[in-house]
Amino acid sequence: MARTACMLVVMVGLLFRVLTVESAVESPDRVVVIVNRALSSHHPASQNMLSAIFGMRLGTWEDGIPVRVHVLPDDHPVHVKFSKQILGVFPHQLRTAWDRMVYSGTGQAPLEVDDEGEMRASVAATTVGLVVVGSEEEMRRKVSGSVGAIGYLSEGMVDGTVDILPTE
Amino acid sequence: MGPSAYAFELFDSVQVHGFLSQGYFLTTNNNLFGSSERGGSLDFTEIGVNASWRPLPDLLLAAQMLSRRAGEAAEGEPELDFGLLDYTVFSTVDRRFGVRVGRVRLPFGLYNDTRDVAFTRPSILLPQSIYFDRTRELAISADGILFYGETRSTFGNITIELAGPFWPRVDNENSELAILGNVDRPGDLDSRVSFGGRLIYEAPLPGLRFAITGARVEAAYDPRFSPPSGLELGPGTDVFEPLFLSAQYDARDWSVTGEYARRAIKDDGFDQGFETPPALPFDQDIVGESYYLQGIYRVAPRWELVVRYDVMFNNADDRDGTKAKARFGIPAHSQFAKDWTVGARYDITPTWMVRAEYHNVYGTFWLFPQDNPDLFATEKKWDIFALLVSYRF
Repeated sequence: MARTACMLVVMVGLLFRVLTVESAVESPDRVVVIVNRALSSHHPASQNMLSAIFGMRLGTWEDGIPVRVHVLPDDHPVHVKFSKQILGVFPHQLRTAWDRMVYSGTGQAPLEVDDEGEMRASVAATTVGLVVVGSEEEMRRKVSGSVGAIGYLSEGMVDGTVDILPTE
Repeated sequence: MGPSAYAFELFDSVQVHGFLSQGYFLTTNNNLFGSSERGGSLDFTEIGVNASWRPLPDLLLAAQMLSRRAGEAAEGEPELDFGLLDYTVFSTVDRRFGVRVGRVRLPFGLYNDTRDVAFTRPSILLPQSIYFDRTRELAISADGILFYGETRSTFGNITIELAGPFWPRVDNENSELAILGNVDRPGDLDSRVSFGGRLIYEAPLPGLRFAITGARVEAAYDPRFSPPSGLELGPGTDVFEPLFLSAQYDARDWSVTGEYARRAIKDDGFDQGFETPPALPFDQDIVGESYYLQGIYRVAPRWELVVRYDVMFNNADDRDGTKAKARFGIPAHSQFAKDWTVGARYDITPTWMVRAEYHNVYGTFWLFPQDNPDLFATEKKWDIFALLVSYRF
Protein backbone atom coordinates (compact mmCIF):
# COMPACT_ATOMS: atom_id res chain seq x y z
CA MET A 1 0.00 0.00 0.00
CA ALA A 2 2.82 2.34 0.86
CA ARG A 3 4.57 1.44 -2.36
CA THR A 4 1.44 2.26 -4.36
CA ALA A 5 1.12 5.58 -2.57
CA CYS A 6 4.70 6.44 -3.41
CA MET A 7 4.31 5.53 -7.08
CA LEU A 8 1.09 7.54 -7.25
CA VAL A 9 2.81 10.59 -5.81
CA VAL A 10 5.68 10.31 -8.28
CA MET A 11 3.27 9.99 -11.23
CA VAL A 12 1.18 12.95 -10.09
CA GLY A 13 4.36 14.93 -9.70
CA LEU A 14 5.58 14.11 -13.19
CA LEU A 15 2.18 14.99 -14.65
CA PHE A 16 2.14 18.28 -12.78
CA ARG A 17 5.61 19.06 -14.04
CA VAL A 18 4.71 18.37 -17.67
CA LEU A 19 1.59 20.53 -17.47
CA THR A 20 3.20 23.44 -15.67
CA VAL A 21 5.00 26.14 -17.57
CA GLU A 22 8.44 26.87 -16.18
CA SER A 23 8.14 30.15 -14.36
CA ALA A 24 11.76 30.73 -13.27
CA VAL A 25 12.20 33.54 -15.79
CA GLU A 26 15.66 34.62 -16.81
CA SER A 27 16.71 38.19 -17.45
CA PRO A 28 17.18 39.01 -21.18
CA ASP A 29 20.25 41.15 -20.51
CA ARG A 30 23.78 39.76 -20.09
CA VAL A 31 24.83 39.51 -16.44
CA VAL A 32 28.24 40.77 -15.39
CA VAL A 33 30.18 40.61 -12.13
CA ILE A 34 30.71 44.00 -10.50
CA VAL A 35 33.18 45.15 -7.86
CA ASN A 36 33.84 48.29 -5.90
CA ARG A 37 36.05 50.75 -7.79
CA ALA A 38 38.52 50.92 -4.91
CA LEU A 39 39.62 47.33 -5.48
CA SER A 40 43.09 47.61 -6.94
CA SER A 41 43.50 44.55 -9.14
CA HIS A 42 41.06 43.54 -11.84
CA HIS A 43 42.61 40.37 -13.18
CA PRO A 44 40.02 38.28 -14.97
CA ALA A 45 38.36 35.98 -12.49
CA SER A 46 38.09 32.26 -13.19
CA GLN A 47 34.90 30.33 -12.53
CA ASN A 48 36.87 28.56 -9.80
CA MET A 49 37.56 31.86 -8.09
CA LEU A 50 33.97 33.10 -8.44
CA SER A 51 32.67 29.78 -7.08
CA ALA A 52 34.94 30.17 -4.08
CA ILE A 53 33.87 33.80 -3.54
CA PHE A 54 30.11 33.30 -3.92
CA GLY A 55 30.34 29.99 -2.07
CA MET A 56 31.65 32.09 0.84
CA ARG A 57 34.90 30.15 0.95
CA LEU A 58 37.34 32.90 -0.02
CA GLY A 59 37.62 35.48 2.72
CA THR A 60 40.04 38.06 1.30
CA TRP A 61 41.21 39.58 -1.96
CA GLU A 62 44.90 39.34 -2.91
CA ASP A 63 45.69 42.55 -1.04
CA GLY A 64 44.11 41.30 2.17
CA ILE A 65 40.89 43.33 1.90
CA PRO A 66 37.90 41.31 3.16
CA VAL A 67 35.51 40.10 0.45
CA ARG A 68 31.95 41.45 0.90
CA VAL A 69 29.66 39.30 -1.21
CA HIS A 70 26.31 40.75 -2.33
CA VAL A 71 23.50 38.68 -3.82
CA LEU A 72 19.93 39.20 -5.03
CA PRO A 73 17.01 37.08 -3.73
CA ASP A 74 17.02 33.42 -4.77
CA ASP A 75 14.13 33.79 -7.24
CA HIS A 76 15.25 37.09 -8.83
CA PRO A 77 15.72 36.56 -12.62
CA VAL A 78 19.18 38.15 -12.56
CA HIS A 79 20.26 35.88 -9.71
CA VAL A 80 18.99 32.81 -11.57
CA LYS A 81 20.96 33.84 -14.67
CA PHE A 82 24.09 34.64 -12.67
CA SER A 83 24.04 31.31 -10.83
CA LYS A 84 23.55 29.22 -13.93
CA GLN A 85 25.63 31.07 -16.49
CA ILE A 86 28.52 32.42 -14.44
CA LEU A 87 28.78 29.97 -11.55
CA GLY A 88 27.33 26.94 -13.32
CA VAL A 89 25.06 25.96 -10.41
CA PHE A 90 21.37 26.34 -9.63
CA PRO A 91 20.13 28.88 -7.06
CA HIS A 92 18.94 26.14 -4.73
CA GLN A 93 22.43 24.61 -4.70
CA LEU A 94 23.95 27.94 -3.67
CA ARG A 95 21.32 28.37 -0.97
CA THR A 96 22.03 24.86 0.37
CA ALA A 97 25.75 25.62 0.51
CA TRP A 98 25.18 28.89 2.40
CA ASP A 99 22.70 27.27 4.80
CA ARG A 100 25.14 24.48 5.55
CA MET A 101 27.71 27.04 6.62
CA VAL A 102 25.42 29.35 8.56
CA TYR A 103 23.65 26.65 10.56
CA SER A 104 26.77 24.66 11.36
CA GLY A 105 28.94 27.61 12.38
CA THR A 106 31.39 27.12 9.54
CA GLY A 107 30.77 30.33 7.61
CA GLN A 108 28.53 33.32 7.03
CA ALA A 109 25.81 34.13 4.52
CA PRO A 110 26.29 36.73 1.76
CA LEU A 111 24.62 40.14 2.05
CA GLU A 112 21.23 40.01 0.37
CA VAL A 113 19.90 43.11 -1.39
CA ASP A 114 16.38 43.52 -2.72
CA ASP A 115 16.93 44.69 -6.28
CA GLU A 116 19.56 45.71 -8.82
CA GLY A 117 19.47 49.36 -7.79
CA GLU A 118 20.37 48.46 -4.24
CA MET A 119 22.98 45.97 -5.50
CA ARG A 120 24.73 48.68 -7.49
CA ALA A 121 24.57 51.21 -4.67
CA SER A 122 25.81 48.80 -2.04
CA VAL A 123 28.74 47.56 -4.12
CA ALA A 124 29.65 51.13 -5.17
CA ALA A 125 29.27 53.14 -1.97
CA THR A 126 32.17 55.52 -2.62
CA THR A 127 30.58 58.87 -3.55
CA VAL A 128 28.28 61.14 -1.58
CA GLY A 129 24.76 61.19 -2.97
CA LEU A 130 24.75 57.72 -4.47
CA VAL A 131 24.00 55.98 -1.23
CA VAL A 132 20.99 57.15 0.74
CA VAL A 133 22.24 57.15 4.29
CA GLY A 134 20.95 58.56 7.53
CA SER A 135 24.17 60.00 8.85
CA GLU A 136 27.81 60.53 8.10
CA GLU A 137 28.79 57.59 10.32
CA GLU A 138 26.55 55.30 8.35
CA MET A 139 28.11 56.61 5.13
CA ARG A 140 31.61 55.94 6.39
CA ARG A 141 30.50 52.50 7.53
CA LYS A 142 29.10 51.69 4.10
CA VAL A 143 32.20 53.02 2.38
CA SER A 144 34.70 51.20 4.54
CA GLY A 145 32.56 48.06 4.57
CA SER A 146 32.11 48.07 0.83
CA VAL A 147 35.70 48.45 -0.33
CA GLY A 148 35.92 44.70 -0.86
CA ALA A 149 32.40 44.48 -2.26
CA ILE A 150 31.49 42.15 -5.12
CA GLY A 151 28.13 41.46 -6.74
CA TYR A 152 26.50 41.08 -10.13
CA LEU A 153 24.18 43.14 -12.37
CA SER A 154 22.48 43.11 -15.73
CA GLU A 155 24.93 44.76 -18.13
CA GLY A 156 22.45 47.54 -18.84
CA MET A 157 22.38 48.56 -15.18
CA VAL A 158 26.14 49.13 -14.91
CA ASP A 159 27.22 52.77 -14.69
CA GLY A 160 30.34 54.64 -13.64
CA THR A 161 29.88 53.94 -9.95
CA VAL A 162 31.05 50.32 -10.12
CA ASP A 163 33.64 48.39 -12.10
CA ILE A 164 33.03 45.26 -14.11
CA LEU A 165 35.20 42.32 -13.09
CA PRO A 166 36.09 40.48 -16.28
CA THR A 167 35.56 36.74 -16.21
CA GLU A 168 37.68 34.15 -17.96
CA MET B 1 39.00 57.75 7.92
CA GLY B 2 38.87 58.31 11.64
CA PRO B 3 38.82 55.69 14.38
CA SER B 4 35.02 55.73 14.60
CA ALA B 5 34.74 54.35 11.06
CA TYR B 6 36.96 51.41 11.98
CA ALA B 7 34.88 50.78 15.12
CA PHE B 8 31.84 50.33 12.91
CA GLU B 9 33.83 48.13 10.57
CA LEU B 10 34.81 45.81 13.43
CA PHE B 11 31.20 44.85 14.07
CA ASP B 12 30.11 45.16 10.45
CA SER B 13 30.29 41.41 10.00
CA VAL B 14 27.99 40.32 12.84
CA GLN B 15 25.19 38.16 11.54
CA VAL B 16 22.23 36.69 13.38
CA HIS B 17 20.13 33.89 11.93
CA GLY B 18 17.60 31.49 13.31
CA PHE B 19 14.62 29.28 12.77
CA LEU B 20 11.39 28.20 14.38
CA SER B 21 9.48 25.03 13.58
CA GLN B 22 6.26 23.52 14.88
CA GLY B 23 5.20 19.98 14.08
CA TYR B 24 2.16 17.78 14.41
CA PHE B 25 2.45 13.99 14.54
CA LEU B 26 -0.33 11.42 14.33
CA THR B 27 0.47 7.70 14.58
CA THR B 28 -1.66 4.59 14.15
CA ASN B 29 0.33 2.82 16.84
CA ASN B 30 3.17 3.67 19.22
CA ASN B 31 4.10 7.11 20.49
CA LEU B 32 6.20 9.56 18.57
CA PHE B 33 6.96 12.89 20.24
CA GLY B 34 4.27 12.54 22.86
CA SER B 35 0.87 10.87 22.77
CA SER B 36 0.60 10.78 19.03
CA GLU B 37 -1.90 7.94 18.84
CA ARG B 38 -5.00 9.64 20.21
CA GLY B 39 -5.65 12.91 18.39
CA GLY B 40 -2.02 13.43 17.49
CA SER B 41 0.72 15.35 19.24
CA LEU B 42 1.83 18.96 18.91
CA ASP B 43 4.71 18.30 21.29
CA PHE B 44 7.35 19.08 18.68
CA THR B 45 8.91 22.53 18.52
CA GLU B 46 12.37 23.55 17.41
CA ILE B 47 13.75 27.04 18.08
CA GLY B 48 17.26 28.03 17.17
CA VAL B 49 19.23 31.27 17.15
CA ASN B 50 22.78 31.65 15.97
CA ALA B 51 25.23 34.50 15.80
CA SER B 52 28.52 34.77 13.92
CA TRP B 53 31.21 37.41 13.79
CA ARG B 54 34.32 37.90 11.68
CA PRO B 55 36.52 40.31 13.62
CA LEU B 56 39.30 39.54 11.13
CA PRO B 57 39.02 38.01 7.65
CA ASP B 58 40.61 34.75 8.88
CA LEU B 59 38.79 34.49 12.18
CA LEU B 60 35.18 33.44 12.72
CA LEU B 61 33.35 33.18 16.01
CA ALA B 62 30.01 31.40 15.85
CA ALA B 63 27.50 29.99 18.32
CA GLN B 64 24.01 28.53 18.12
CA MET B 65 21.50 27.94 20.89
CA LEU B 66 18.70 25.43 20.51
CA SER B 67 15.52 24.78 22.38
CA ARG B 68 13.64 21.65 21.43
CA ARG B 69 10.38 20.16 22.58
CA ALA B 70 10.09 16.58 21.36
CA GLY B 71 7.68 14.51 23.41
CA GLU B 72 9.21 13.11 26.57
CA ALA B 73 12.70 13.16 25.06
CA ALA B 74 13.13 16.95 25.11
CA GLU B 75 11.35 19.53 27.23
CA GLY B 76 12.53 22.78 25.67
CA GLU B 77 15.61 23.28 27.84
CA PRO B 78 18.10 25.51 25.99
CA GLU B 79 21.26 23.79 24.86
CA LEU B 80 24.44 25.00 23.21
CA ASP B 81 24.36 23.42 19.78
CA PHE B 82 27.76 24.75 18.78
CA GLY B 83 30.10 27.48 20.03
CA LEU B 84 33.41 27.79 18.29
CA LEU B 85 36.36 29.76 17.09
CA ASP B 86 37.42 29.10 13.51
CA TYR B 87 40.83 30.18 12.28
CA THR B 88 41.64 29.88 8.59
CA VAL B 89 45.38 29.29 8.45
CA PHE B 90 45.53 29.93 4.73
CA SER B 91 43.00 30.51 2.00
CA THR B 92 43.66 30.82 -1.75
CA VAL B 93 41.46 30.31 -4.75
CA ASP B 94 42.44 26.62 -4.91
CA ARG B 95 43.12 25.71 -1.31
CA ARG B 96 41.96 26.36 2.18
CA PHE B 97 43.13 25.03 5.53
CA GLY B 98 42.01 25.87 9.04
CA VAL B 99 41.08 24.73 12.51
CA ARG B 100 37.99 24.99 14.71
CA VAL B 101 37.99 24.83 18.49
CA GLY B 102 35.13 24.57 20.93
CA ARG B 103 31.84 22.78 20.56
CA VAL B 104 31.96 21.93 16.87
CA ARG B 105 29.47 20.33 14.52
CA LEU B 106 30.54 16.74 13.87
CA PRO B 107 31.18 16.03 10.20
CA PHE B 108 29.28 13.00 9.05
CA GLY B 109 27.03 12.08 6.19
CA LEU B 110 25.30 14.62 3.98
CA TYR B 111 22.71 16.04 6.37
CA ASN B 112 24.29 16.16 9.82
CA ASP B 113 25.63 19.69 9.30
CA THR B 114 22.16 21.19 9.38
CA ARG B 115 19.94 18.50 10.87
CA ASP B 116 18.00 20.82 13.19
CA VAL B 117 16.99 23.26 10.49
CA ALA B 118 13.75 22.15 8.87
CA PHE B 119 14.53 24.09 5.66
CA THR B 120 17.66 22.05 5.03
CA ARG B 121 16.24 18.62 5.87
CA PRO B 122 14.83 16.60 2.98
CA SER B 123 11.72 15.75 5.03
CA ILE B 124 10.20 16.44 8.45
CA LEU B 125 12.08 13.50 9.96
CA LEU B 126 15.57 12.76 8.75
CA PRO B 127 16.20 9.18 7.62
CA GLN B 128 16.51 7.61 11.05
CA SER B 129 18.74 4.77 9.90
CA ILE B 130 21.60 7.23 9.47
CA TYR B 131 20.50 10.23 11.55
CA PHE B 132 19.29 8.35 14.59
CA ASP B 133 17.50 11.02 16.63
CA ARG B 134 17.61 8.84 19.74
CA THR B 135 21.33 9.66 19.95
CA ARG B 136 21.28 13.11 18.43
CA GLU B 137 23.46 14.74 21.12
CA LEU B 138 26.21 12.23 20.38
CA ALA B 139 26.02 12.90 16.66
CA ILE B 140 25.29 16.55 16.32
CA SER B 141 28.26 18.20 18.00
CA ALA B 142 31.12 17.52 20.38
CA ASP B 143 33.72 19.45 22.34
CA GLY B 144 37.23 19.48 20.93
CA ILE B 145 39.24 20.37 17.86
CA LEU B 146 38.55 19.96 14.18
CA PHE B 147 40.94 20.49 11.25
CA TYR B 148 39.58 21.23 7.81
CA GLY B 149 41.12 21.39 4.38
CA GLU B 150 39.76 22.03 0.91
CA THR B 151 41.26 21.73 -2.51
CA ARG B 152 39.49 22.82 -5.67
CA SER B 153 40.51 21.95 -9.21
CA THR B 154 39.06 21.07 -12.60
CA PHE B 155 39.04 17.45 -11.41
CA GLY B 156 36.62 18.37 -8.66
CA ASN B 157 36.71 19.60 -5.09
CA ILE B 158 37.84 17.63 -2.09
CA THR B 159 36.98 18.65 1.45
CA ILE B 160 38.50 16.81 4.41
CA GLU B 161 37.48 17.38 8.00
CA LEU B 162 39.26 15.61 10.84
CA ALA B 163 37.73 15.97 14.28
CA GLY B 164 39.90 15.00 17.17
CA PRO B 165 40.55 14.81 19.88
CA PHE B 166 36.93 15.42 20.80
CA TRP B 167 34.72 14.42 23.71
CA PRO B 168 31.16 13.31 22.84
CA ARG B 169 28.19 14.77 24.68
CA VAL B 170 27.18 12.00 27.06
CA ASP B 171 25.83 14.16 29.86
CA ASN B 172 22.19 14.02 28.77
CA GLU B 173 19.20 11.71 28.96
CA ASN B 174 19.31 10.44 25.37
CA SER B 175 22.98 9.46 25.59
CA GLU B 176 22.59 7.75 28.96
CA LEU B 177 19.61 5.77 27.74
CA ALA B 178 21.42 4.76 24.57
CA ILE B 179 24.65 3.69 26.28
CA LEU B 180 23.47 2.43 29.67
CA GLY B 181 19.88 1.49 28.85
CA ASN B 182 18.67 3.38 31.89
CA VAL B 183 19.02 6.83 33.43
CA ASP B 184 19.02 5.67 37.02
CA ARG B 185 22.41 4.03 37.07
CA PRO B 186 24.62 5.01 39.98
CA GLY B 187 27.96 6.61 39.26
CA ASP B 188 29.12 8.51 36.19
CA LEU B 189 29.10 8.16 32.45
CA ASP B 190 32.04 10.06 31.02
CA SER B 191 33.18 10.77 27.50
CA ARG B 192 36.56 9.58 26.37
CA VAL B 193 38.91 10.88 23.69
CA SER B 194 37.28 10.27 20.33
CA PHE B 195 38.15 10.83 16.69
CA GLY B 196 36.25 11.10 13.45
CA GLY B 197 36.57 12.39 9.94
CA ARG B 198 34.78 12.94 6.67
CA LEU B 199 35.98 13.29 3.11
CA ILE B 200 33.65 14.87 0.55
CA TYR B 201 34.38 14.69 -3.15
CA GLU B 202 32.43 17.03 -5.44
CA ALA B 203 32.78 15.80 -9.00
CA PRO B 204 33.30 18.19 -11.95
CA LEU B 205 29.70 17.40 -12.92
CA PRO B 206 27.79 19.97 -10.81
CA GLY B 207 25.54 18.37 -8.24
CA LEU B 208 27.35 15.04 -8.01
CA ARG B 209 29.07 14.33 -4.74
CA PHE B 210 30.31 11.49 -2.63
CA ALA B 211 31.31 11.28 1.00
CA ILE B 212 32.94 8.80 3.33
CA THR B 213 32.81 9.21 7.10
CA GLY B 214 34.43 7.21 9.88
CA ALA B 215 34.73 7.66 13.61
CA ARG B 216 35.68 6.10 16.92
CA VAL B 217 33.48 7.44 19.70
CA GLU B 218 34.13 6.26 23.23
CA ALA B 219 32.45 6.61 26.62
CA ALA B 220 33.26 5.02 29.97
CA TYR B 221 30.99 4.12 32.84
CA ASP B 222 32.12 4.12 36.46
CA PRO B 223 29.53 2.89 38.92
CA ARG B 224 31.62 4.16 41.85
CA PHE B 225 30.84 1.21 44.03
CA SER B 226 32.96 0.40 47.01
CA PRO B 227 32.68 -2.55 47.28
CA PRO B 228 30.74 -3.67 44.14
CA SER B 229 27.20 -4.72 44.98
CA GLY B 230 27.34 -7.72 42.65
CA LEU B 231 23.96 -6.81 41.24
CA GLU B 232 24.71 -3.81 39.02
CA LEU B 233 26.65 -2.90 35.91
CA GLY B 234 30.37 -2.85 36.45
CA PRO B 235 32.82 -0.28 35.10
CA GLY B 236 32.66 -0.66 31.34
CA THR B 237 33.59 1.07 28.12
CA ASP B 238 31.35 1.69 25.16
CA VAL B 239 33.04 2.11 21.78
CA PHE B 240 31.07 3.09 18.70
CA GLU B 241 32.87 2.83 15.36
CA PRO B 242 30.63 3.71 12.42
CA LEU B 243 31.47 3.94 8.77
CA PHE B 244 29.21 5.92 6.41
CA LEU B 245 29.20 6.00 2.62
CA SER B 246 27.16 8.71 0.90
CA ALA B 247 26.31 9.65 -2.66
CA GLN B 248 24.08 12.32 -4.12
CA TYR B 249 23.20 13.70 -7.52
CA ASP B 250 21.41 17.03 -7.39
CA ALA B 251 20.03 18.19 -10.76
CA ARG B 252 17.86 21.17 -11.54
CA ASP B 253 14.50 19.57 -10.88
CA TRP B 254 15.35 16.42 -8.98
CA SER B 255 17.90 14.73 -6.80
CA VAL B 256 18.77 11.20 -5.78
CA THR B 257 20.52 10.48 -2.50
CA GLY B 258 21.72 7.27 -0.93
CA GLU B 259 23.63 6.62 2.26
CA TYR B 260 24.87 3.39 3.79
CA ALA B 261 26.35 2.73 7.21
CA ARG B 262 28.02 -0.08 9.14
CA ARG B 263 27.69 0.64 12.85
CA ALA B 264 30.01 -1.34 15.10
CA ILE B 265 29.24 -1.19 18.81
CA LYS B 266 31.34 -2.83 21.48
CA ASP B 267 30.40 -2.79 25.15
CA ASP B 268 32.99 -4.33 27.43
CA GLY B 269 33.41 -4.69 31.16
CA PHE B 270 29.83 -4.00 32.20
CA ASP B 271 29.10 -7.64 33.10
CA GLN B 272 31.94 -7.80 35.63
CA GLY B 273 29.67 -6.02 38.08
CA PHE B 274 27.59 -9.15 38.44
CA GLU B 275 28.72 -11.86 40.87
CA THR B 276 27.55 -14.60 38.58
CA PRO B 277 27.42 -14.14 34.82
CA PRO B 278 24.01 -12.59 34.16
CA ALA B 279 21.32 -14.35 32.16
CA LEU B 280 20.93 -11.14 30.14
CA PRO B 281 24.48 -9.95 29.45
CA PHE B 282 25.03 -6.27 28.86
CA ASP B 283 28.37 -6.63 27.08
CA GLN B 284 28.04 -6.95 23.34
CA ASP B 285 30.05 -6.84 20.16
CA ILE B 286 27.73 -6.24 17.25
CA VAL B 287 27.68 -4.53 13.89
CA GLY B 288 24.49 -2.80 12.81
CA GLU B 289 23.57 -1.84 9.29
CA SER B 290 21.67 1.12 7.85
CA TYR B 291 20.82 2.45 4.43
CA TYR B 292 18.32 4.60 2.59
CA LEU B 293 17.52 5.64 -0.93
CA GLN B 294 15.74 8.92 -1.48
CA GLY B 295 14.37 10.82 -4.44
CA ILE B 296 13.37 14.48 -4.41
CA TYR B 297 11.38 16.06 -7.21
CA ARG B 298 10.91 19.81 -7.63
CA VAL B 299 7.60 19.80 -9.42
CA ALA B 300 7.25 23.59 -9.54
CA PRO B 301 9.29 26.54 -8.26
CA ARG B 302 7.97 26.30 -4.68
CA TRP B 303 6.91 22.68 -4.55
CA GLU B 304 8.94 19.64 -3.71
CA LEU B 305 8.06 15.97 -3.38
CA VAL B 306 10.13 13.36 -1.56
CA VAL B 307 10.06 9.57 -1.66
CA ARG B 308 12.33 7.43 0.49
CA TYR B 309 12.91 3.89 1.67
CA ASP B 310 14.92 3.73 4.89
CA VAL B 311 16.14 0.55 6.60
CA MET B 312 18.11 -0.12 9.76
CA PHE B 313 19.11 -3.23 11.70
CA ASN B 314 20.53 -3.15 15.21
CA ASN B 315 22.55 -6.28 14.45
CA ALA B 316 23.38 -7.32 10.90
CA ASP B 317 23.56 -10.94 12.14
CA ASP B 318 20.02 -10.75 13.46
CA ARG B 319 18.03 -8.81 10.87
CA ASP B 320 14.63 -10.12 11.90
CA GLY B 321 15.32 -9.78 15.60
CA THR B 322 14.54 -13.43 16.38
CA LYS B 323 17.92 -14.05 18.00
CA ALA B 324 17.45 -11.08 20.32
CA LYS B 325 13.98 -12.34 21.17
CA ALA B 326 15.32 -15.81 21.95
CA ARG B 327 18.22 -14.45 23.99
CA PHE B 328 16.70 -11.48 25.82
CA GLY B 329 12.95 -12.02 25.48
CA ILE B 330 12.41 -8.60 23.90
CA PRO B 331 10.11 -8.12 20.89
CA ALA B 332 11.84 -9.03 17.64
CA HIS B 333 10.42 -5.90 15.96
CA SER B 334 12.44 -3.68 18.30
CA GLN B 335 15.63 -4.70 16.49
CA PHE B 336 14.94 -3.17 13.10
CA ALA B 337 12.92 -0.53 11.26
CA LYS B 338 11.87 -0.27 7.62
CA ASP B 339 10.28 3.00 6.62
CA TRP B 340 8.56 4.01 3.39
CA THR B 341 8.16 7.79 3.34
CA VAL B 342 6.37 10.08 0.96
CA GLY B 343 6.09 13.82 1.53
CA ALA B 344 5.58 17.26 0.07
CA ARG B 345 7.02 20.67 0.75
CA TYR B 346 5.63 24.10 -0.14
CA ASP B 347 7.63 27.31 0.28
CA ILE B 348 4.98 29.96 0.99
CA THR B 349 7.75 32.58 0.91
CA PRO B 350 11.56 32.24 1.03
CA THR B 351 11.22 32.39 4.84
CA TRP B 352 8.04 30.34 5.48
CA MET B 353 7.69 26.68 4.63
CA VAL B 354 5.12 23.95 5.23
CA ARG B 355 5.58 20.20 4.93
CA ALA B 356 3.33 17.16 5.06
CA GLU B 357 4.42 13.55 5.03
CA TYR B 358 3.35 9.99 5.53
CA HIS B 359 5.48 7.12 6.84
CA ASN B 360 4.64 3.45 6.65
CA VAL B 361 6.93 1.79 9.19
CA TYR B 362 7.64 -1.83 10.04
CA GLY B 363 9.76 -2.18 13.17
CA THR B 364 10.29 0.08 16.17
CA PHE B 365 14.06 0.42 16.48
CA TRP B 366 14.11 4.21 16.40
CA LEU B 367 11.20 4.89 18.73
CA PHE B 368 12.15 6.97 21.74
CA PRO B 369 12.06 4.91 24.99
CA GLN B 370 10.95 8.04 26.84
CA ASP B 371 7.71 8.08 24.84
CA ASN B 372 7.41 4.27 24.82
CA PRO B 373 8.66 3.04 28.21
CA ASP B 374 7.10 -0.39 27.78
CA LEU B 375 8.84 -2.18 24.94
CA PHE B 376 6.19 -4.90 25.00
CA ALA B 377 3.39 -2.41 24.40
CA THR B 378 4.85 -1.32 21.05
CA GLU B 379 3.32 -2.50 17.78
CA LYS B 380 5.49 -3.70 14.94
CA LYS B 381 3.53 -1.99 12.15
CA TRP B 382 2.75 1.66 12.49
CA ASP B 383 2.03 4.65 10.28
CA ILE B 384 2.90 8.29 10.84
CA PHE B 385 1.17 11.32 9.42
CA ALA B 386 3.09 14.52 10.10
CA LEU B 387 2.75 18.23 9.39
CA LEU B 388 5.31 20.95 9.93
CA VAL B 389 5.41 24.72 9.56
CA SER B 390 8.75 26.48 9.72
CA TYR B 391 10.13 30.02 9.67
CA ARG B 392 13.73 31.15 9.24
CA PHE B 393 15.62 34.41 9.32
